[in-house]
Parts: sequence; C-alpha cells; structure tokens
Amino acid sequence: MNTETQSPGLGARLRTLASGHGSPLSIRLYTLGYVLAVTALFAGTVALLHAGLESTRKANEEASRQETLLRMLKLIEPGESLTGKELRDRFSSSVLVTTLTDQKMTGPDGTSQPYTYYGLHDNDSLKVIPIWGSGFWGFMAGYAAVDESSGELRSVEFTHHEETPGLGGRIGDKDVKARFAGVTYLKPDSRGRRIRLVPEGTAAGKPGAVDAITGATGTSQGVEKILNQALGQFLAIRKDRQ
Amino acid sequence: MSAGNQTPQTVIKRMLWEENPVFVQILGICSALAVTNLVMNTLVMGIALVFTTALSSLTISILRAYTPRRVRMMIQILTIAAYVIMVKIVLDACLPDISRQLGAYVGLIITNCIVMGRAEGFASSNPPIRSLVDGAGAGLGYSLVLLVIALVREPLGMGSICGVRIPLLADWTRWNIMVIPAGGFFMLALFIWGARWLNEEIDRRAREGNRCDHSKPAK
Repeated sequence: MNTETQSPGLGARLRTLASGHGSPLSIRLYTLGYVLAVTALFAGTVALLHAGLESTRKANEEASRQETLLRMLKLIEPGESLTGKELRDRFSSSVLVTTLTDQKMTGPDGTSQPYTYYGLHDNDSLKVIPIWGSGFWGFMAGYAAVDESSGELRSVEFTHHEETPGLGGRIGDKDVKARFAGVTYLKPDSRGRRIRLVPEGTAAGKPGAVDAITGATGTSQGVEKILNQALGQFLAIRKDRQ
Repeated sequence: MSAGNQTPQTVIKRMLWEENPVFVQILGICSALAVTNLVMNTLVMGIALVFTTALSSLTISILRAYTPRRVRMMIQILTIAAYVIMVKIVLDACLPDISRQLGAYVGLIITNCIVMGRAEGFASSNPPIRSLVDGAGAGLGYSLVLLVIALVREPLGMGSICGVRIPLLADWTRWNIMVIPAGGFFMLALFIWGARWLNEEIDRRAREGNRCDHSKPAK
C-alpha cells in the first residue's frame, strides 16, 4: 500500500514488475521486497492494535474475576451493577484474601500460582475456593463458594472453560449453577466422592448429589472430579491450620 | 463475474440470493454448523465475517496491480489473517464472554472458503469499491442464512432466543439434536431445499408473468 504514495512513475514501474515484465532478478527482488513490506505492514498493524487493547483486555478480565468473587461472597445484590472503580474499592475493602505460599493451584490462565482463597472480614464460615481441572474439551477453572459451618456448597462459577456452547457450556447457565446451591460435601460416598453428578432429575434428596447436564457427560464428569479435588485440598488445608 | 455492468445493488443481490455463499455455493459450512445453536453468537460471527470479507476484499483489490501473480494467494491469506486477528483482539477486549463462547471459530474465519473465494474470485480482478460491496454482500449472505438457522435451532434446542426464554416454550422439552452440530446439518439441508424450491417458484412465476404480459395486448 505504501508504494501508492510514491510518484506515479515509480508506481507504473512497480506494476510492470508485478505483472512479470523485467529481468528475472529484478522480478525476484521485487517479489521478495513486496512480500516483506506487506507482511511488515499487516504485522505492525496487528501488533499495534494488540498493544493498544491488551490493558483493556487484562482490566476486563480482572474486573470480571473480582465481580464473580464479590457475587459469590454475596457482596453484590442481585441486579446491582457496579462500575470498575466501585468493584475495585469494594473488593479491597470487604474481601479477605488468604494466600498460602506452600500450596500450589493452577490459575484461570493455566499457570501455577500460590494457593489463594477468599473470605469475609465479618463472616467466618463463607469461603470462596479456587477450582480447576480438565473438562471435556480442555482446561476449566473457576471458583466454588462453600459454607464451612453447614458444610454446604453455595455456588460454583467457571470463569474459564472451552466446553460446547449449549451443551457443556451450560455449566455457566443460571439454572445449572443453581443446582450446586445447598449441596452438602461432608459425606463422601464409598468411592470417596464428596460431590457426585448424577443423571439429570435424580439428585433430589440425596446428600452430595447434583443433577448433571444431559448431553454433556464428559463435562459433568470433569466438573465432578474438579470439585472433589478442590474440596479435598481445601479441607486438608483447613484441617492443618486448626 | 467480472462483467463491467455490475452496480452495487446487483452485486449485493447476487451475493445475498443468486450466488449466496452458503446455500448456493455451499461454503462456510464448518462455522455454519458450529455457531448457529445460539442467535447471539451467530450475530457476532456474522458481523465478524462481514467485516473480514469486506475489508480483505477492499485491501486485496487495492493491492492487486502491485501483487506479483505467483505470491497473490500468500498475500490474500496474509490480508485475511490480519483482519481476522484484529477482530479477535477487539472481541477479546470488548465482548469477552461472546469471544470465549465462539472460541476457535473466529480464528477459523481465516480458513473460511467464503473469504478466500471472494478474494481470489472477485477482488483480485475488480476495482476496490465494487470488491468492498461484493465482500460485504458475501458476508451478509452468509449471516442471513446462519441467522435463519439459528432462529430455528435456539428455540427448539433451548426454548430461548438470544438467551431470553420464550414464554410459549416454557415446558419445552429441549431437542439436544438442535444444539449439537448434527442439528445444523438437518437445518442447513432443509434451508437449501426451501431456498431452491422458492427460487424455482420465482422463476416459474416470472415465466408465466411474461407469458401473460405478452398475451395482454393481443386481447
């Protein structure tokens, strides 16, 4: 494109070379130069756009993570919406962040991080713990809110997953997420599972049972494994500290 | 295709109906099956494709006189890839949820035959503005078909449109087949059937209409 801004004489000469008229060497050199110039132009544009929007993307990600945590800790009323600054302020003033350097977890971006869980200053039993593992298609990560005094799950949110929209992806839907509320995790079954995902519609009245997603068996099995692994690790940590 | 008497209107009409990339040329089927189970995702995918086909056609048309023939396809792919990555970056920053749901399919626009087809088949031998319109038309033709399919698949598969529950379908038993790509196959085939039938019907009416017009002065 930059060639067009040159004098018409040069433009005409370049067009002649482009159409394959000229000495073999000059045609080759022109082709090479042209490809390099166009590549540099596009790569440069893409790189600039990426650099310009990377901070927005990161900020969005962090804001949505904090919002998720605030919601799970019941610090945002249903229907209430906060600006980015209000989110940050409320998060830093109300959320008790506990980071354990001797325990590892895998963060939403797939990197290994020190184990971090979240609580409230004025409520000792509600905790939000990290969850992560493999779904059907790939890595899934998010948070689970647990009530330590009653031994029940409060909510489960996956902030990162690659499941099929409409099938495994329904793990992010309101009606699926509601299935985890109030499920006890204190009574492991014979195979050591604290939380079991059972065929849809059969969970009612069974301790530790959650309705799975019909049509997304792989995702449901992944979620079951992820929750049990995360709860096991968290309970072990809490036992150690007492 | 490179006829000189094409106005923007005829170019748009050709891409939307007569040579529609999806139901006449049967291109872009991969994403047509994958994203059409949710209307919102389909809409964003359509906008992304219109943007990519329009601007890549424009760029390729502007560059066409300077592009050596033997590297033209590399330049086309490069141009398309650059625009697609731009779309991906903007989606990631502005619509993170939808970007996450569309997953790989936005990136896969790079290999979408519609974009490459318009670039090689039209933009590489036509002036810039006409190529822009042709590209936008191809994208719109694709979006139109996908939206119609999504407007059937989402209600039947999930009882909602754009994630909003339809009161009429409150007790709807979800058809899982409509959610998985197989449902897209059936819907696409039905759509092609319907569109071909309609096309023939229009042709037949036009022929009969002509006959009537000719017979009128004789009466």
